[in-house]
Amino acid sequence: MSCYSASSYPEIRRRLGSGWGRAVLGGLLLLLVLPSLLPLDPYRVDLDGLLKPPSLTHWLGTDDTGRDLLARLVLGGRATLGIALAATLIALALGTLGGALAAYRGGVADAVLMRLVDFGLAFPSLFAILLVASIVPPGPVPLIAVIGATGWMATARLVRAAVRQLAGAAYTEAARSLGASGGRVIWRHHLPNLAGVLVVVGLVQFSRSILAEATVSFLGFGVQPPAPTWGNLLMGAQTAVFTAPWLAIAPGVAVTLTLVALASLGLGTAPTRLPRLEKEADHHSHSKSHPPTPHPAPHPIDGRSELVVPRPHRPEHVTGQPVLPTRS
Amino acid sequence: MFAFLVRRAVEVTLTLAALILAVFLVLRLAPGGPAQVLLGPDRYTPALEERVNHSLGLDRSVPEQVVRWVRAVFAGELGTSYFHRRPASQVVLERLGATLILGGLSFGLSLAVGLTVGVIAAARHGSWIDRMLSHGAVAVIATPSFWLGIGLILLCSVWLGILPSAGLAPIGREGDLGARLRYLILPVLTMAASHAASLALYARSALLEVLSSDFVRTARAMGASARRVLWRHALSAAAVPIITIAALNLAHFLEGSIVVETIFGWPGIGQLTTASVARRDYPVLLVISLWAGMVVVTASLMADLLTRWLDPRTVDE
Repeated sequence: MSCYSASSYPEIRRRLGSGWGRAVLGGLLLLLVLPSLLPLDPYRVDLDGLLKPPSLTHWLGTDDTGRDLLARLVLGGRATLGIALAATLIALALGTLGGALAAYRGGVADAVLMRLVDFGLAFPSLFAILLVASIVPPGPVPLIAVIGATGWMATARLVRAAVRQLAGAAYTEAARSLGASGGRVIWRHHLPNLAGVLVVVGLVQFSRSILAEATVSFLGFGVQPPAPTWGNLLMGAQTAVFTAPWLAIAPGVAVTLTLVALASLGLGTAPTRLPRLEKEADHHSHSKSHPPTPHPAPHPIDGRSELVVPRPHRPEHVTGQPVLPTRS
Repeated sequence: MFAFLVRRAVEVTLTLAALILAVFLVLRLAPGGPAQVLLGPDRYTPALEERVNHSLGLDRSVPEQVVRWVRAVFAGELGTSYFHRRPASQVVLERLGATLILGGLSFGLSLAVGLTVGVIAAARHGSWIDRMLSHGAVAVIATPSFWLGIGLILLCSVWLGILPSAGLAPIGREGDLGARLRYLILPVLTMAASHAASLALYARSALLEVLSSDFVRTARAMGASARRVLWRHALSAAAVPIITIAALNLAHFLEGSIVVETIFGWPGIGQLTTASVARRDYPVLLVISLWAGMVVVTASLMADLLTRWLDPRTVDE
């Protein structure tokens, strides 16, 4: 079985540095700084221009209090992407911690953590988010915390599988036999090798978090108006759909385009099909027997269990080793 | 098989117990109780709040509340809705039918469309049809369901004016089945879309994997027609993971129902959830969470059993 070769720091730079990757990342970063650069005021009320369709002065039209939709869309993008980014980092940190703990400790810790992950992956996270939203006052910080706290399971599962594979790799044994401490092996040898997995699952988690923020704010339990996010812009839009359809179109297009872009970026970075990795790690050589419940990689967009759209004739990896562990 | 059933039974029990306690603790330990909501800002006084908390049993110690709660769960008394002033489980049960109709139809539709699209894409692998369907599916998954719903309302209700935008049935014609069906079209489409798309992608990749395996090549070599290879050999081999994913997806229809029912004013459990969050109607939320947990556990158990039934080679871990 090959070691998990699809992952090292240069690998990340190579993949995220491709044309698509640069364009998407650049666009998203631009959205984060754009609100401070554009001469637009998302809060300025223009009582003469309520619910005006797109025009030269208001490129995307105005809302029911005469505020410029373009300005609100750009600022809303910063809020949505910022919240999603923070939530993703929390989820990645928790997931790496949980997955590594399960893999290195094994035994009871592993069993308990993985049961938790199983249930967490199956339980509709929107319920959990709404439950918490009913308790704490709404706002960006609780939203980040709860989206992050409900999103770590996919990361944990993949990190666990990868670590189990790494721990059995020949170079781990070599490092240990040369006298490296456990901590050094984890820090210097295993963590850099996890980077690739983390980028892929991070992209998935980022998409999920964007969707989660938008959904919760759309339902009215997330970031509260007048502060705009892509989700709560649509909340106002639904009631006005008969009179001002432009309010509904722009924020939706923004979310969808972002998610499609992230998905194609995710497909470019995915070290092909991750589920095989786990299957191989858990059930050596049972190439034909299905585990009781297959646990495919989370889908690049919605994070539900899906196979990543396969790229059948993928060229071999830079290191010369096939990315997919070969069937025994 | 027996060992498997016992192990799963223990797992299910432990999971549900953990869920009962977790939900309870999260809700009860929260700041800002239901008393303030019940009384409203005008009538609120600390003395009144104390009385309300006492009548709801919220002033007991937390362990005592837990014991009462667990006992109530096993007795089937899951608390009284703060808002409706009736047993919470009764309130939820009344909404179950509407959600089952919506969810059932959407599940059926997504299964039919998703499988068909997936099989077509896999059969025409590499062609423009495949590319179009796959990219289309990715785009559909990337569309948030609330925006899809609003878009469909915009298209069908506002611009074309052919379908109603919200509700359960036209007023005064509740018995008219045809009229009621028209109210179902948009919510069902909205709910089914992303599931159909993800199922299509999944079915496609599962089929492609099977189609590249040795026994398919053997079947082709022995002269089986392309159609027979696809439908008889490949699809039955790919069925196991596809069905498993479909069963697991069942739980996510609960999530979809929250958004879809809220948009379309569909009086089911999803709408009840958002309304109860807004009202802080904790007993109702507890009941819904418990049910959601049970659906999740049941769905994954069913997926396991189905896998075993369809593929006897499945091994115990």
